[in-house]
Amino acid sequence: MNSHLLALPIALPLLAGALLLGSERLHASTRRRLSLLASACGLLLALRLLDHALEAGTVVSAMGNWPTRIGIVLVLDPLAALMLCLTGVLGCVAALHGVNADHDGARWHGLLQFQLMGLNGAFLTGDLFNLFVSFEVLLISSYGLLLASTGRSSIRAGVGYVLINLAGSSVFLVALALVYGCAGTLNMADLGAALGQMSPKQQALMQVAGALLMLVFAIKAALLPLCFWLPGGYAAASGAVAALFAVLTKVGLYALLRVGSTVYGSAADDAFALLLPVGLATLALGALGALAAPDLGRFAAHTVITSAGTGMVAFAIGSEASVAAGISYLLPSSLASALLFLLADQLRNMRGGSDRLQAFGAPAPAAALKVMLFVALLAVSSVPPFPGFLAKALLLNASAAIVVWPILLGASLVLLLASMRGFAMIAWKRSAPPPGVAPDGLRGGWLAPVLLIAIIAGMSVAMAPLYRIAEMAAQSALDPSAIANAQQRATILPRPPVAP
Amino acid sequence: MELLISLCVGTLAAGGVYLLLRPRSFEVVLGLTLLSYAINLLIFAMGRLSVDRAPILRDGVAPTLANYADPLPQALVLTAIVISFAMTAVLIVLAMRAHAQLGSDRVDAGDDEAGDR
Repeated sequence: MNSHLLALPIALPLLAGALLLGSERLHASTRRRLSLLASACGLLLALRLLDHALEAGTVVSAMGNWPTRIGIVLVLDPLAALMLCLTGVLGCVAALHGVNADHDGARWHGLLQFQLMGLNGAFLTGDLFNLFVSFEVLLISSYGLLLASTGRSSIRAGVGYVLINLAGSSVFLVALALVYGCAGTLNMADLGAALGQMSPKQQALMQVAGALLMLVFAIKAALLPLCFWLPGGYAAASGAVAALFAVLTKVGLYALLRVGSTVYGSAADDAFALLLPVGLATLALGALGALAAPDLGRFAAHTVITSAGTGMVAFAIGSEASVAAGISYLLPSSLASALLFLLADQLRNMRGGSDRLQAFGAPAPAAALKVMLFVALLAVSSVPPFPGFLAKALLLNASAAIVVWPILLGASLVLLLASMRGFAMIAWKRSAPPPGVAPDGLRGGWLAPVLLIAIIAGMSVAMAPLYRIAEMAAQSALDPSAIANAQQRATILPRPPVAP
Repeated sequence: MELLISLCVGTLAAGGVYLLLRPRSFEVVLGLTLLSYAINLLIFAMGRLSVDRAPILRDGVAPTLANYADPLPQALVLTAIVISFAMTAVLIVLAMRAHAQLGSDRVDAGDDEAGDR
């Protein structure tokens, strides 16, 4: 396989997005089919890259064959490929749901493609500045997508979401400036090699930069003191958008792991020791927030926080087994949260805009919606038939710290209680439907939730191979020299000397 | 020159953070703008400050950083300027739409729950 294929997951959505933005004369349904086609191609490409990464390990491609100090490298390893697959699935689901739900404006699908481009770029890049650019691409399009869901709450939540992310981007740039000032490069693998040879003063500056980077990634991952922007923003977004946003917090976690292990190596151990209690607190807060959520959208947003906290705990423990368990937990839990967002959208459509749990006099949801809601709620609370359960058990098995056990188990119990309480309130606790209102919940948009349920079910059947892939991903992600070695192997042709 | 530039960066950043914490959207936009100026200066200075050294190769001068300014931070700054400009534009449009729809330009969501339920 040509290693320059690594650029395709970024180039394909870019082309599709540009085409979609410029295609105002096309019929709306043509535009939607185009977007769906591009997302499906992205998913197939991600699967192909996963296959390649499992075979070849870490692959590096130097864009334009520039030397790594100046140029940009793309890095593909099993972890990045898994995240690409997750993005591909959620991209397809969002495009499909956007096809069915008739709420999208003219430019919605273009923004969706740019969002996918930013996500793929963030997962593939091996260069810190390029990571910043990918973050900005995905953030700008996420602002557009969030604000496209009309309504007062969307504007209100949008302002907060945009402001905290703009502040985060500023901090990111400060950190990048410090890193460049110390090391003279922003290539992650080169930075990892350069860190050991710095003077103590420079190392201190690099530690400051590392703390700032940790802060930025914690904002993206919605870890505890920095997670209060999430519930309002995600609950205000429309279903398809919120389903795609379920992967945004994973970008933060991924960046923490990647930068921590590739750039800082063992110097990041103190930071990860600090992040363990942070992850535990986030997890507990997410579960409690889910119990207190007044509507299904906010409930789903809190399950995203719980999932990010659990992932952080797994990454902070830092052994290969725990990271593998964390990866195999994050994949199904993102899909389950996305499913819940889609169903909240269905519920809103059915009830004319409200997805409150306690809605007296609201018509009963259709039986199919009830069943799907039940499945989704069990899946987010990681009950046995679902893949999250095994992953959590593996995580407990891998954690040496005794404090992880009571908090993780307690939070799981609270989340299960919250799920069942939510289901009972939506499905059972209601007065008789007013006459003339047909129980109806499946106008059109049933394909995307069914697809997600099928994928989650497939994951629970295929948990053993999934865990084996996650183990390989953890192995490559925790090996600080993997990228450096692959970067050396990437044949960089000597450039012709500059003409005198 | 280093002292002067660092004083500039510090003053701009302090003003930016102060304005960012103010409750009205106009001040917040100004604060983010000042902050991005501070950051652009910082990135620029991280390529080492020097006078009269263009990053353009000349005949007979060895192509090392001792003889030329480092062009990479300048490229980084250019990207950062473009991005922060676009972000400011987005934020201004958002602030105007929020003002039109909510009738207030406060960014602290005081009546969030009461307002839309």
